[in-house]
Amino acid sequence: MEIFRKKDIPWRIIDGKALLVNPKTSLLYPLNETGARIWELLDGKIETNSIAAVIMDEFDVNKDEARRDVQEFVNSLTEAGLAQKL
Amino acid sequence: MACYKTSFSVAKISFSFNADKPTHINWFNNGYGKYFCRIEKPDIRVQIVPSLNNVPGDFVSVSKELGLYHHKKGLGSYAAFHKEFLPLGDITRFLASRVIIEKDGLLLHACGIKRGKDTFLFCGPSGAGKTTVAKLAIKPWEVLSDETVAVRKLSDNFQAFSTPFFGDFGKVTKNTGAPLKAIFFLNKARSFGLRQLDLISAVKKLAQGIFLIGNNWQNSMEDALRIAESLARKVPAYELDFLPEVSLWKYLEKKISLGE
Repeated sequence: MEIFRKKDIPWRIIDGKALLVNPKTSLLYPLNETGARIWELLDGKIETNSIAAVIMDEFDVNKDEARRDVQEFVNSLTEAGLAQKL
Repeated sequence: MACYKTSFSVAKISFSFNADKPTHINWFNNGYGKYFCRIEKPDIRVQIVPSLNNVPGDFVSVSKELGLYHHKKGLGSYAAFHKEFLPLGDITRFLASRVIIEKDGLLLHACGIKRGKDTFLFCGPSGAGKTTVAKLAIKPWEVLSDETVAVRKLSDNFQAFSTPFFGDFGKVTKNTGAPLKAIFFLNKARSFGLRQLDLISAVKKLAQGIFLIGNNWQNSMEDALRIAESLARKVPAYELDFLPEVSLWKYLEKKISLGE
């Protein structure tokens, strides 16, 4: 499944973490390092399983954990109106 | 056609307003008298255009002669940034909130206090205690605004400035600014307490207080986040538990090293 971050979301990486702004609700979303890395990768060109592979490679998690975490995280982003499915 | 003009400066950014009726210019001169300046080449030129017939009261439309905000629609020019016509006070607040970002600064929802050669910000949403802090200010603490402070990076350091925008505390009598020494995010509490914030928490809290007015505000938000990060890297930010007592100043003097 391919997911991409919405174009109208202002965001910034700060020391490896991230801050996202939902312009519809004005809510701010801080992301930790893993979340920020996933967010950076959500350009719609990479499938979530490939993102999980990057996370497994760069952070200390096994394949199952990485897949589950990426899936849960992108679901949360989609529910919050910050990302959408292609 | 007659042309009436005035110009004023906030945070060292100069605005000139032209109109074909004196009413609007008188409004600026009465409201922003302390910020009046004579300037040949303002940073921002604004042409005030009388409202169309279907817009009631004192509302006017505005167009910026040069640059980003100009947008024409129908018979006249109107503010590209807002679907509605804006009252004059909102126009200046809007312009200041947008233009300051282009000038490496932010318009923040904060109470600003000056002490000697330093300034301090007391931030928080409505009800957090900004006006309370302003009302507690006694010499040598001097209020910049109880509601809206302009912050700009000048010569690699951040300075906080008074603005003509204020809350219940009322108008401030000086157009002034000085280097920003610390930022406090207010919590009403039963005792004083101070905790320094990490970088991302400070940027998040600053971002919550950035004034960005108008429909397309998100276009400027990434720049605003960049400036907020730069500000949080330069100036220490704290969570401040406080009581509405003048002993606040003694507490801060004790906790933060203050130059005389």
